[in-house]
Amino acid sequence: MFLLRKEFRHIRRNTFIARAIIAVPIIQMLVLVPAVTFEVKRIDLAVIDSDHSRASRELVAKLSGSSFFAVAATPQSVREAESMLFAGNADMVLVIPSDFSEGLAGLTRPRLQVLVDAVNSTSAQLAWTYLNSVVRDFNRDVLLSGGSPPGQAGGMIMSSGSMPGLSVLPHYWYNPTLNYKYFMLPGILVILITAIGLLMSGLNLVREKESGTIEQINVTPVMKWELIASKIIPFFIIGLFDLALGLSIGWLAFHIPFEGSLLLFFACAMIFLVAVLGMALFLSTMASTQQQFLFVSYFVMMIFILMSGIFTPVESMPVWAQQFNWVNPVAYLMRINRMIMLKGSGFHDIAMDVGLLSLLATSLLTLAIRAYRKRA
Amino acid sequence: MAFVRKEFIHIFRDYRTLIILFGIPAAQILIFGYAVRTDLKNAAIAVLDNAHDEVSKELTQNIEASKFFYVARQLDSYDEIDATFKEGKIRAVVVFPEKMAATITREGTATISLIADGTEPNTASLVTGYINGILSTYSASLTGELTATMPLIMPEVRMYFNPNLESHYMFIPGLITLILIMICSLMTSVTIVREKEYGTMEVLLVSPLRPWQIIVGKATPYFFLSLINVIVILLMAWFVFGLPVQGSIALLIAECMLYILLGLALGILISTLTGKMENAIFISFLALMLPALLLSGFIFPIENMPKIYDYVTMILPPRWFVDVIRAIMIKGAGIGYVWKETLILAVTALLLMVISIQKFKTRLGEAK
Amino acid sequence: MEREKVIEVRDLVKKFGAFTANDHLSFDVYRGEIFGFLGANGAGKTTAIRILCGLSRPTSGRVMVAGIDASRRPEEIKKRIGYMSQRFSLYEDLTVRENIELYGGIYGMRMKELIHRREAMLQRLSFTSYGDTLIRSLPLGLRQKLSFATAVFHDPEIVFLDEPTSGVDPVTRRQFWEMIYETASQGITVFVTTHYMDEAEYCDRITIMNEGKIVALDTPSVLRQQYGTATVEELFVKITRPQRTMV
Repeated sequence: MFLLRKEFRHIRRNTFIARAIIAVPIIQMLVLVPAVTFEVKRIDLAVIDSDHSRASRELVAKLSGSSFFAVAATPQSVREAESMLFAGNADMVLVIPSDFSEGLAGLTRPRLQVLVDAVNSTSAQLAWTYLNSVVRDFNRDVLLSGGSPPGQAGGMIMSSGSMPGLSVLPHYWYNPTLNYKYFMLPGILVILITAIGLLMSGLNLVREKESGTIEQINVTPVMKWELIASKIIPFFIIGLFDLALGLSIGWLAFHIPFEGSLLLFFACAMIFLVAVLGMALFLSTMASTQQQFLFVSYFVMMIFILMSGIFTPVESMPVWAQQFNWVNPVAYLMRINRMIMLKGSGFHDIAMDVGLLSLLATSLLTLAIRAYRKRA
Repeated sequence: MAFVRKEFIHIFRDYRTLIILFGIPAAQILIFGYAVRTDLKNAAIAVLDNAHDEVSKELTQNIEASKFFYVARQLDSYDEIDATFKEGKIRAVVVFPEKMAATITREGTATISLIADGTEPNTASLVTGYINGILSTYSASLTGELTATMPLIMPEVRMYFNPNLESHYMFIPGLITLILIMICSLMTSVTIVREKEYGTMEVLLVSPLRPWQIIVGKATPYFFLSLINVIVILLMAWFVFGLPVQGSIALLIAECMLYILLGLALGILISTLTGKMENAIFISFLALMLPALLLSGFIFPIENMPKIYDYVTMILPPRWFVDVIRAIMIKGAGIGYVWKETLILAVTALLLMVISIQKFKTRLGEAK
Repeated sequence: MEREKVIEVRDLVKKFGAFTANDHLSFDVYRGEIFGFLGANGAGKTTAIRILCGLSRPTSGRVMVAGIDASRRPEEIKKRIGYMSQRFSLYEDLTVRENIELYGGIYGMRMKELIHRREAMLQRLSFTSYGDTLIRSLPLGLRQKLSFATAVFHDPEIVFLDEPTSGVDPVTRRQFWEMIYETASQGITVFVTTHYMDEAEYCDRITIMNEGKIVALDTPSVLRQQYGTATVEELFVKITRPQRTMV
C-alpha cells in the first residue's frame, strides 16, 4: 500500500524520530524504573538524649542498627532539632526524656517524643510506622527480660511462645520482598506506549494538516479507511516494538519476572494501541496546529495516566475518579499488565477488562473515523 | 514594543491554547488534590476463616468496621487465594488458624497469617500496617490487665508542617514546578520553532530587531502567563485545599520569576537545537517533562532513589525549585534557608540565557 | 459543432452561515480548454474550486464535473481530476521518485506501468538527475513544475491549478505555461486560478469573480473589446474597482 510505504519513509527519513523510537524506551526503563519508588531507604534521625542511660543508648543503637534509620545529628535542644527539620537536615527527631530509664524500671510509663517532617505525608507515615515497629521490638525485649531494660543482667527470659495476644505473620505474594520495581515497570511500559502512540501519530496528522499536504491527499480518490489505516499501522508497529524493547530491558536489567502469557500480554497491548491511536486521530482532527495538539494530548495523557492508578491505589480515589476510569484505556492496561506480568493472571481473570478495553478501542476508532472528514 | 504585542496577540487569538494554558493547571490541582491519594481507603479484603469461632468473627467485624477495608469475600480454602488474587480485586487475605479461640485461651497467643498481594508494594505495606493495628488493638483488649502493669514505651508523635498528613502538601509545590516548566520551556520552544518552520522567523531576522530583542519579545508573554498561572495555583491551593503560603509571598513570587526565566532560557535553547517542531516537542517532552515529573522529588523523594540519582538530579533545576517552593510555602522558610538553592537556580538561569542568546546569534550568522 | 462540456455549473450557491461565498454561479467548461478563473482575494475562487474538486459540498445548485454530480458522488470525481494547491503539497522529506510513486499508487496505477511512466516523465522534464533528491532540497521553480507534473501524472480529465505560479520567477512561469499548453493539447482540461493578469491572456476563456458572483465570462479578447481596455489587467481593475472603493 502506497500510503503506508510513504509513512514509513517519513519515519525513516527523520533520523531524530527514528533514533527516539529506540532511545526512549531504553532511557525510560533504565532511568525511571529505579528512581520511581515510595520505598523509604534512609531516614535521617536527630536524637536528643536527655537521659544518657544505658537503656536510651540501647534504643538508639537499635534504631541505627535497623536498615531504615541513620543518626544524622545529636542536637542539644528541641529548638535546634526543630531548625534541623526546617532546613531539611533531619527527617525525624527523637526526644528521649531524662526520666526514660527510670520509667523503664517501672516507676513511670516512659514517654518518647517523635517529631516528623511531614511535608511528604507518605514518607512521614512510613517513617513513623518503622519507628513504631522498632519500639515495639524494644518493648518486647523489655518484656521478655522481665521488666528490665535489655542487656541488664539477671533478667528472666520468657519463652516467646508465652507472649500474650495475637501476632500477625505477613506474607507478600508475587513480590515477597516488596520490590518497587516490580510494581513500576509494568506501569512505565504503559506510559511508554501511550506517549509514543498518542504523540507521534497525532503530531504526524496535524503536521500534514498544517503544511497542507493533506489537502492534496484529500482530492485523490483514496478511501478514508485507507488513509486512517496508513496513519495508524506504522505507529501500531512502533508501539509494539517499543513495548518489546522495554520489556526486554526490564527483564535483562532488573530481572522482572514474567509470570503470565506473553501472547496475552501483547494481544492486550494491541487492543490498547488501537484505542490510543484512535484517540490520537480523534484529537488531531480537532487541533489545527501541532502546538494545540501537543497541549491537548499532554493534558489528556496526564489525566489518564495519573487516574489510572500508576502510583496510587485506585480504590482510594473518590467515586467520580473511579467512574472516570471506565473510559480510561490506560487504567485497563495498567491493571492488565500488572496482573499478567506479576501474578500470571490468565484470560479468564481479565476477560472483563479485555472486553471493556476492546469496546473502548472500537468506539474510539469509530469516533476518529467519523470525525475525520476528507472534505472541509 | 510592537513585537511583544504581536506575541500576545498570537497567544490570545489561539483561544484553544489559552484554555489549555489555564485548564491544565486547574485540572491537575484537582486531580492531585482529590484523586491521586497515597493513603488507603476501601481496600477489598478476603477472609479465610478456618476457625469459625467468636474471636475470628469479632476480628472480621473489626476489619469490616474500619474505614480502610471492607470484607469482599469469604474464602473456603487456601487454594482459592491464588485465583482470588489473579482476578485482581482483593488486596489481601486474612487467614485465621483452626481453633483460634481455643488456642488463645490455652496458650494466650495465636498467629494469624496475612497474605498480601505484593504487586503494589506501597499498598501491601499499608494493608499490613493497618491490619496489624486492628489486631493489636484487639490483643490489647484481650490482655489489658497484663500489659497495664508492664512498663512499655509509648512514643508520641508530632507531625511537623503537615499535621493531618495531607498529600497535597507534597504535590502543590511540585505542580507549580511542573506547570512552569511546561509553559515556559515547551511553549517558547514550540513557538520559536514554529516561526522557523513557517519562515516568518526570517522576516524577523532581517528586520532591524536585534537578536536579544526577538528573544525578549518571544519570551515576555510567556513570562506573564506563567506568573498568572502561579498566582492561580496559589489561590486554588489556598481556597480549595486550605493551604496558604506560610512564608513570604514576595519571596515566593521572586523565586518563581527566577525559575520562569530559567525555563524560558531553556526553551529558547531547545528551539535553537532543532528546526523541526516534532523534534522540539520530543526533546522538551523527554528532557523536561519526565524528569520534572519523576526525578525532581515531586512525587518520589530523591532520598529514596539509588545514590547515583542524588548526584545526577543535581543538574535538574526542578529539583532545586521544588525544594525552595516547599520550604517557603509549607515550612514558611525565609531566604536564609533557601539561599543555596536560589543561588544554584540563578547561576543556571544566567548560564542558560547566555548560551541560548549565543546560540541564537550563531544560527543567525549561518542564516545570513 | 457543440463542444463537449466537462464541467457544468448551474446556480451554485455556497454559504458559510450568513456569509455567501458563492452566489448563483453558472458556467460551463469545455474539454481541452484552458479556463482561467480570476478574482480578488476573498472573491470566492478557492471555495468554488474546492466544490469542483469534491472537497466541499455546495449549499444548492447543480455541479457536474466529468459527468458526475459533485454533491452526490464527490469521491467519483476525485478519480478523474488532478489538483495542485496554492500551498506546496509534495512531501518534503520524500524524494522526487517517491512522491510520484505515492500519487501514482494512490490512483491505482500498477507498479510496472508506474515506474515506466515515471521515468518517461522525468526524462521529458529533464529531471532524471533529480530523481532521488529530497523535495526539500529542490529550488522552488522545480518543485512547482514537479507538482504540476504529479497532478497530471495519472491522466486526469481535468486538472485544477490553484494559483500555481505564485512566487515563481518569470522564466519558470513561462516554462510552466508551456507545460500547461502541452497538457491541454493532450485533451486534458485545465482549470486555473491566478493573480497574474498576463497569465490570464494565455487562457482560452476567463471568468472574473467579484464578491461571490461571476461578473464577466468570455475569451480575453472579447472581454477587452467589450469593456474597451487594452489589457486584461485594466479590465480586471475596471470591473472590480467600483465595489472595492466603497469598502
